[in-house]
Amino acid sequence: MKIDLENIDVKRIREILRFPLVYPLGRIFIKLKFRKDKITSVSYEYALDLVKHNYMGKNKVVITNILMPSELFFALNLFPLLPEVASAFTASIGFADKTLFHSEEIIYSKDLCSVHRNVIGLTRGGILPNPDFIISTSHPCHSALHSFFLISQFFGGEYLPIDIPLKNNNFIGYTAKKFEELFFLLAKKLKIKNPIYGLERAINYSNLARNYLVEINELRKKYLVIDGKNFLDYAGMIFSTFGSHWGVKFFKTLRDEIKERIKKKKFLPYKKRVYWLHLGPYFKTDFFDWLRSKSCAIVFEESSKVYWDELDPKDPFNSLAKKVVNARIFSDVEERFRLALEGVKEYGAEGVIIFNQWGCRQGAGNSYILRRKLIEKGIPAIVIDGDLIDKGNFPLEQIKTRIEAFLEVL
Amino acid sequence: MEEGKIKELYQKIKKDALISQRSVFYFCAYVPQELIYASGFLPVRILPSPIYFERSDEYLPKYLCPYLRSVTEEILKEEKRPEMAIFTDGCDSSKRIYEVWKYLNLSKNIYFLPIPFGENKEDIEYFAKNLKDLFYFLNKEGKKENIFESIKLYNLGRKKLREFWEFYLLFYSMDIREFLDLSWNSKNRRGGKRFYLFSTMYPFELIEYMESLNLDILYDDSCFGIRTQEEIEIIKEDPFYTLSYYYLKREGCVRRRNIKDKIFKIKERIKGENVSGVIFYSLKYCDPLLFYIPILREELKKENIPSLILEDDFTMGIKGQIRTRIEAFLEMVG
Ligand code: SF4
Ligand code: SF4
Repeated sequence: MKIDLENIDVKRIREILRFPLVYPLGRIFIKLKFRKDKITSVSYEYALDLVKHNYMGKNKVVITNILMPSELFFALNLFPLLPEVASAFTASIGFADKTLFHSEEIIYSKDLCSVHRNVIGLTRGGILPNPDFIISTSHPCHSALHSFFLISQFFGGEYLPIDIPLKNNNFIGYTAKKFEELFFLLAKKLKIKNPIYGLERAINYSNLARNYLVEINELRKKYLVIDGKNFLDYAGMIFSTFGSHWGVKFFKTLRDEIKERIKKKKFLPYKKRVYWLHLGPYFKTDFFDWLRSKSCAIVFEESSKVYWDELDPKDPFNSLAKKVVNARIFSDVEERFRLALEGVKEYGAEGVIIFNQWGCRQGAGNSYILRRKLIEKGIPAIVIDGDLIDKGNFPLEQIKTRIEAFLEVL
Repeated sequence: MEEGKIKELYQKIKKDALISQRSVFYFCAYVPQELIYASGFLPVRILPSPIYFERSDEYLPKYLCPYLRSVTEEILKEEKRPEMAIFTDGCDSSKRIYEVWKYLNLSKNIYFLPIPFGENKEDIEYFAKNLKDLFYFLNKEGKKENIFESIKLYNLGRKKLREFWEFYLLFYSMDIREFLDLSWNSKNRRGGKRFYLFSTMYPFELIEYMESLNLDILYDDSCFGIRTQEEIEIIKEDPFYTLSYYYLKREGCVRRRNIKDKIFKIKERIKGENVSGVIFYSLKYCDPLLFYIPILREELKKENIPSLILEDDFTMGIKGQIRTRIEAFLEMVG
């Protein structure tokens, strides 16, 4: 069935999504359609639950950014919506051209991060529900702080920014206090008594999911059975499901699938191995197929790194604060350099691809010197200036030519 | 002193500062000059002239802040290593360009000052701690009592600035005592069309060009403009807390979320002044500004205050269009 994206009736779809029956039917459909692909099945079931929570009009809607601990929301039975995930999804179904266009009615500049332009367009077009709470950390980027404020001004929603004193362990308490205050504020607004029980559950789920992801990453060190391109797609699950049973289910399914493939010796035959920094394009492109056709696999990615310790259920706010304050991904050049070196060593990568998102000043800003630092260490590295969402900013042929030359060096 | 001499004097200050061991370069209005001065150094704000990007392109993607890229380009071309530079995490570009400066060793000492978005007590304390660290980084033996003296001097400077805002450039870059000794002719308004300028950073040449077209900028609401003119009130014995409170709470920056307040201030300022509208100098790739303008513009619309956006990348590539854009704008607003 081909959906006519141009003439999609958003209002009608939003009305349909208010019917409870849609969801069990949707689940049956997903289970049938993806019965052979359990990973996709679980991620779609999660997406359906996310839609159910946010579109049926019964729950409060919270928009947040990638490094805000989702555990705090799941503890309160909130299903957080992330711009990256919403944007990746719209781009993957070919809808982003339209939503980016919608955003221009509000923001005139195309020089802003397309993830956030897209999310403004999605809200403007009524595709995303108007948020009740808009919560963002100051790390990894300020784009969320700015775009969320704009959304709150145009579409409503309580704006709650959280400062992260990055890598300053003297200020763990400062961040922990902010998380704690936010948590109890939300609990009060949602009239949840004893919210701390929910938090304990969320922390336990988070630790379970983390353990599966750690195991997955260990297996990937030895066996190449799933290309990293898939893991770039799973980044949304890493950023948005920790603290929920979906996170546990997804990463367990993924771990089982990897083990199964190893057992059946379904190893990928690619000869060249690269480590990938930042996320990757989410719109339809043959880029990754082309990369594989050149016998090149992505063996690990910045976004899959488990950089935090197990959370302490007895000290939830402090351990969540530690997780965010010490976030190693999407960080400064020294940290990304260390990550790349680890990636190269542990996953046997021969080179590094640094993907730049147009408009992502925090990600792209240190990419040129990061490349130089890697080359100084004898590790081939290349920077691709592209876009996650806006295919207009992804000069495919030019990128292929450059990557081809790069692969020859490996 | 004549208005026309500002740029000349500024260029000289900048040139001397490049080789002086007492100068501290800074780029963000959250860096307290009072603190630098009290530590025994001279705070010098760097404002480059429009420049063609050549050498910095190797290190900085072109979609980072064009103001800081211009500064970097200027330093690379000058081939001099200033004594000290302070960056902040006022925006994402700034925190990354700081790393590039470190990598290239562009200054002998490079410091990074984190700034919170929050303005509550714990945020003020956090920033106060960061300011304290900066102070003792600048001078291990620094005396914090000197900060109050320094605050007094800069408050006098702010008072003096009310007469003539074009002197901001000097206020932020020269020895405060020398600034207080300057005497100048009060401004003779040209009688051209009047505007309210809103931006983060813009090149000085923009004002020169506008003036050559007989367009008068009555208010400069940019990072180092009128929004920084409030005087510092001593609210605690601790100078770091006092400074932190002031810098986080003053009218300040586009990072702040005080839209209502901002609109109120704009209205107050232009009341009875016969201002034709607000001109936004929209600096490309400046995220805090690019996300802020649509909100402010929407509010201005509600107040029937016309506005015009001029997009540029600090190179004044917009020059050719300014006249026609403004003429069309004036025709539209009548
Ligand atoms: S791509 Fe970069 S700027 Fe955009 S949301 Fe992600 S971290 Fe922020
Ligand atoms: S706030 Fe804007 S002008 Fe200031 S450094 Fe950042 S990008 Fe540049």
